[in-house]
Amino acid sequence: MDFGIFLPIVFVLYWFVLGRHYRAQNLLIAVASYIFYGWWDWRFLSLIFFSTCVDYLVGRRLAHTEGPGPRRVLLTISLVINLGMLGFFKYYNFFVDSFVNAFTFFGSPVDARPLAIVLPVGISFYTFQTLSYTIDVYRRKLEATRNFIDFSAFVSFFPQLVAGPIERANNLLPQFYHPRTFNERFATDGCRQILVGLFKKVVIADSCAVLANDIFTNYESYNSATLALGAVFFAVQIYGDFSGYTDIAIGTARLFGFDLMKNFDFPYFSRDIAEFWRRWHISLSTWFRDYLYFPLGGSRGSKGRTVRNIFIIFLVSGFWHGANWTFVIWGFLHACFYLPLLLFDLNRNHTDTVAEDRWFPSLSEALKIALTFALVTFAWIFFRAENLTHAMSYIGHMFGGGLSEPFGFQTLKPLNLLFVPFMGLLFLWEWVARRREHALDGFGARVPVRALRWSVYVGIIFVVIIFSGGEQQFIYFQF
Amino acid sequence: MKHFLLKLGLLALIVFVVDKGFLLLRAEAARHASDPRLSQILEGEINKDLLIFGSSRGQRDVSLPMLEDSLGLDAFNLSYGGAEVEFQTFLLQEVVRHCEPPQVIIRLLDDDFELGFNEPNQFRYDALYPLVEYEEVREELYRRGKKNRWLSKVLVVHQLSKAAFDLRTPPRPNAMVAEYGSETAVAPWNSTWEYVYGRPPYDRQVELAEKKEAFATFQEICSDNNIQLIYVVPPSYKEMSNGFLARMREMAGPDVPILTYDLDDPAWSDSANFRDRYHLNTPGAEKFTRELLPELRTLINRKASSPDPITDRASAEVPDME
Repeated sequence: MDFGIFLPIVFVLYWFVLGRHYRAQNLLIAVASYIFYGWWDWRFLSLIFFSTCVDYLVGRRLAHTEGPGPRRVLLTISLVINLGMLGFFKYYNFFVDSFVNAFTFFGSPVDARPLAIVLPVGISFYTFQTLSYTIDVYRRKLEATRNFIDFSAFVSFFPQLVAGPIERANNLLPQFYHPRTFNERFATDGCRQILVGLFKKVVIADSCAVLANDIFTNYESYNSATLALGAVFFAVQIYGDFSGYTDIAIGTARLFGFDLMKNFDFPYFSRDIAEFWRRWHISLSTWFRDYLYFPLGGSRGSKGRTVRNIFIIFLVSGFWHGANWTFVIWGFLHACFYLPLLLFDLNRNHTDTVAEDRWFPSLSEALKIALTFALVTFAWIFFRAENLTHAMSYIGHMFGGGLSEPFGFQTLKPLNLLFVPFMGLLFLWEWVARRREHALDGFGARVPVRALRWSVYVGIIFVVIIFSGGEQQFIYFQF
Repeated sequence: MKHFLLKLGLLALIVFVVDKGFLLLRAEAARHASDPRLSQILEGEINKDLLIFGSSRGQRDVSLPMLEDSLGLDAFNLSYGGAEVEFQTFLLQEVVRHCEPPQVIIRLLDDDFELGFNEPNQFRYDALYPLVEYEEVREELYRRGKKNRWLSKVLVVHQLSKAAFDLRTPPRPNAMVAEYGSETAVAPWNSTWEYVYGRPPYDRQVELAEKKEAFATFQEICSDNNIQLIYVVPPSYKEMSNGFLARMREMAGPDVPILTYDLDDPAWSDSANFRDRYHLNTPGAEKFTRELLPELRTLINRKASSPDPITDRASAEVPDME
């Protein structure tokens, strides 16, 4: 609701008051973004400002430094400061706990206590975004910006500040250098994408959350079939939650004339894990590809070296999500699922869209999609679990027999299942739109009857409002 | 830009006009509420001498016909399963606002999560959602952040929830529930729990500020409306927590008595009197009510014979049941 007031105010100021002065618009975006971030927790504004200053100054110095040694030193300064802050706020307690547990396990208990550290919202996202700038400037792929306001607006750009997409400096930053003109088609599409995002988040993800939370909390009391269903609910929840946020972010950016990168490309229609990772959280996986996998040698070396690199990026990707072994195991599982594809050179088998020229997938494609979804859903159990014991116990109960028993759980009530037809509708709609940017992309052209089109918009608005009230925080805000 | 804003404005206008159709659904939803008690309160129909407040233990653990017969007071149960103190305080606020305040309130305390978080005990939003036709209900939802005041004023649909679409006719309450608001559970013992001996020390760290505030507000409302408040701790299939009891005495203060079951009676460690670990069955509830009656009669008579409620409270002896 607060965002519903904030957005029109910024929109009006941006286009109507400052429309002719793009530098002033950039300043407005920076100020609005700081207000937006400070709304959550003003204490951490200094962190994002500090990170912005560091990378701006490092970028400026890099622009005037030619020698590889000094350039490397400058890059190291940026990496140490940015990753140091991320490490302290996100991972300090994890390492303390892990060391204490390890020493205790080997019979030498140590006394080290965790600190009461609050994780700043979105720190993992904006840290990676600023790093992409410094690394690109270091690699001479991007010219260092001279304007601090432009750079501040890029780092703190409010539509995607707290949960991505993790924008590349070479895609987003140059957009701040030029005047933006209002493009009605672009803005209208942005509104449609916001609508889709709200639908995914409020109607699908939040409804799934009620059921998934119940099943994951009370898993010991439920049968195998119910636990398997709980994992599916979480798989749908996290997709609706995260891709919904991304849709809102991209749509909002479009209202201001900015084009953000695609972050989800209908990942649950993937035919193998490699394709899944080309379609899920694209901005993070390509970040790791460009700034970690390629520098490690990528797939250019021996098979063994490629396997090592794959495991490294999946493990680091898991660890990026949170300071918990569950995320590391989640990444490890995905690496294991990826491994056979890599070993048999099948990892680039599915670079096209499934059933490209057909309405329905073939039986073989449908089976592959189902298998991929099952593997991904299994791995989500680790992602959702509180800790490894919880995850292992959940899986133990899930495979403990009774898959043929009927579902049964506390929240199994007609009102809680009201979202199921909408969930079916969403996936059906996404299937139809699977070659496009989002479910309502190009809706105007696809449904030329305006009355019908507007009925759909009004219907979605009402459904979203009716389902609102039990909002859960976006899962990815915690990362 | 102009065209874009016109389209947005037109869409908003269509939404605004279509939205008014939901007024019909809002009215219909109130008629399909499965529990009529809250709407009875809001319509000013709960005018009783004695009211019971509590959670499911309040619903199940006392026999209202026995109380009514023995005390000569018209009694009604406003306990809701899973309701915690904030919800009970909301109910009481509405009772004194819309109905004749009762002479006596008996509130059953939840040992030992009365002031702390407990998953099954929550604010019963589900009882409010079908009744958004009433302004008081909407106000409470705004106050608790479940609905936005300004959006609700513009859009009726925002006042509604999924519950409004459940237009099944709820089952009619049986004669006992219709008359007393609750009934005891005839179900026999249905659990594998073992009786719990010994309780961990009461932990004040788990107490929630909003629950403590609601607890105090409940007492204040009673005091302001000259309602005699009596707390009751019903039996659970576990030993009484002395720490909890001491904490409740501290919270209640010297003016509000707390009655407990007979801690030495072996009946309260006999599963024959329980339905499950937390609830009595009908024989248990009747036995517990019989046990309470002499003390209740004494307390109520003493209050009735005192002309000055303040003097009366000051001189009341707080029974120590331990």
